[in-house]
Amino acid sequence: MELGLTANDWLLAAPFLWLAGAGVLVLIWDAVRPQPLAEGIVSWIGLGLAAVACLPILEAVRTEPVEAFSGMLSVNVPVIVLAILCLGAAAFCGIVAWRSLLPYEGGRHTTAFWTLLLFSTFGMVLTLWANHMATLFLGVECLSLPLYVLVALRRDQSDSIEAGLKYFLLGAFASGFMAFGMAMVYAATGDMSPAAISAAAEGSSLGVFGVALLLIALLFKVAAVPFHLWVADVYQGAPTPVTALMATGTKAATVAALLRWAPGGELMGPQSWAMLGCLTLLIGNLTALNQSNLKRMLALSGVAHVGILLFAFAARAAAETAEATSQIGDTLGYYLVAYGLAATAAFGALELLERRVGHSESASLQGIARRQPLLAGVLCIALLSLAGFPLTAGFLAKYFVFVEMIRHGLSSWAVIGILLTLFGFAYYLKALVTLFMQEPPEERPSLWRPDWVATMALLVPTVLSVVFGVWPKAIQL
Amino acid sequence: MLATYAPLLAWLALVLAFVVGILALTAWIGRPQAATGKGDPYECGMIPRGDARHRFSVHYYLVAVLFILFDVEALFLILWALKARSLGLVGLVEVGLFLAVLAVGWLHIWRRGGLEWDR
Repeated sequence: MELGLTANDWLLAAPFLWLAGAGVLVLIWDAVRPQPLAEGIVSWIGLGLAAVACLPILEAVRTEPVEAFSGMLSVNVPVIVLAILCLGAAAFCGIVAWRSLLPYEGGRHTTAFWTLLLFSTFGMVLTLWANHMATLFLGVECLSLPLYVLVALRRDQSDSIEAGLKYFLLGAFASGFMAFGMAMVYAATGDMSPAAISAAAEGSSLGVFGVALLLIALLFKVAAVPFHLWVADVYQGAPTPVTALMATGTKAATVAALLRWAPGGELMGPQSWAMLGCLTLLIGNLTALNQSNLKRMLALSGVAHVGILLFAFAARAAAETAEATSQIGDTLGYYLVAYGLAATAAFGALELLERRVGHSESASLQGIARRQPLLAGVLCIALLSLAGFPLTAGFLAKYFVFVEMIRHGLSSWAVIGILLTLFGFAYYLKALVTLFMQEPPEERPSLWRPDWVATMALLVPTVLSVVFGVWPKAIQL
Repeated sequence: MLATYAPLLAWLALVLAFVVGILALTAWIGRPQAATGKGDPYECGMIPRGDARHRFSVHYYLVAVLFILFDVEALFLILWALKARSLGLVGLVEVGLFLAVLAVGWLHIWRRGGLEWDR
């Protein structure tokens, strides 16, 4: 029996096989003999094996990008590092959800949680790998559909339902834009590879319109201004472990997709990207400043981070040599890793604090550092890394982006970006003042108990944030 | 030019005359009366009874959604069947894998009670 698959096909398909295999196995397990612990272990093993399967790909792409399935999938180094980040975020989401989300409603959604988590991660990796519009659409849909359900998993809480519905309706709209845009680009160029984007952008108005629709859909998925309005409500209403996954995995996958599928040249020149980034940064910072809920604040700080990522897109649009372009790709990868680690740690710590005080309003988190020094410390490092404080990965990530901008002649935009970033310090420091420097309110007795496994897991992204901040070569992009 | 459309015009006039004629004839010959049941909605010859505004079991929607899911998945089989001979054994194994994954989903629904009507 001749399968017609090359060695590269198997190499790139391996992570998908592990993820989908684990997802199907969880379903069978639940059908035959429901056992929450076994389902969790199967899922973690699946995620772990998928990450292990990424390592030989990483070795293979060190020299040059690898393609598979006749060019439907293609990977380079940053893409694989981001895939490992997504897998790690999913495993972390499972660990944090273990004691809060999984026992919800008597644990009847355990199987749903694990299968949806695995399939959503599958979609993230596929979005990263995708080098053809069909695989891109498949990846984005496979990423989004399970997330709609995961967001609304706590189905007796109105904010969770609201978040799920808003995310679903707006996400479905964006998917429609994406499919329509792809169809137009194909109609204009007869090609569905990333090369079709630049060909369509310079050609007929049909192609330009298609590229614009595709761009809108991707900007919605990465939550850039003016398509960011869903973020605050969805991140706030979603169960916090799922928010951590969305902030890390979804953002990494979609920004990487935007990098591959974004038009450059005359349609979206450096100035346009920089203006979009500046607007996103400004509005993200301004809206984050006034939030009384820490989760909302972190969601909108995520919007501000997208602004800086768009600045890197501006530098890429201005770059002339292929070497400079790939250098900026590495910078973006480093930024996404730094942001992902900090966001994972921040949302994870927030989840554990929420369990103690009941919700994430900053009024009830006043002075929590006295009662929970370790968790508050983790949150502190995460917030500093998000703000861009020196000695954290967040600082170097921002530094690299601004250096690239100055190198490619966008100095004035870089200055605006730096000023807006400094302005952003205000709300991170406001949160830190709330956590550390205010008197804690009288505590009501509760059945709260510490979750040491999740706390230990939280230390991993926190320590990595500092390690990568001091020693950026460790990522080896 | 317009002469070519003359038969069409004649036909239109005939149609109009026919409609008007029939309506006039029924008004003249027919004996209009307000019989019972004339204003009722037509329901395949049956006498409609009760209120149309029932409360459906939510379960009804679950079955409908599951039907749509499996129905749409089954469409892929047609594509495979069109090329079954040229795809050979590899195609058979691939479509078998597809059906196996589908069967796992079905098994899960069945065991979790998704197919029980009165739950």
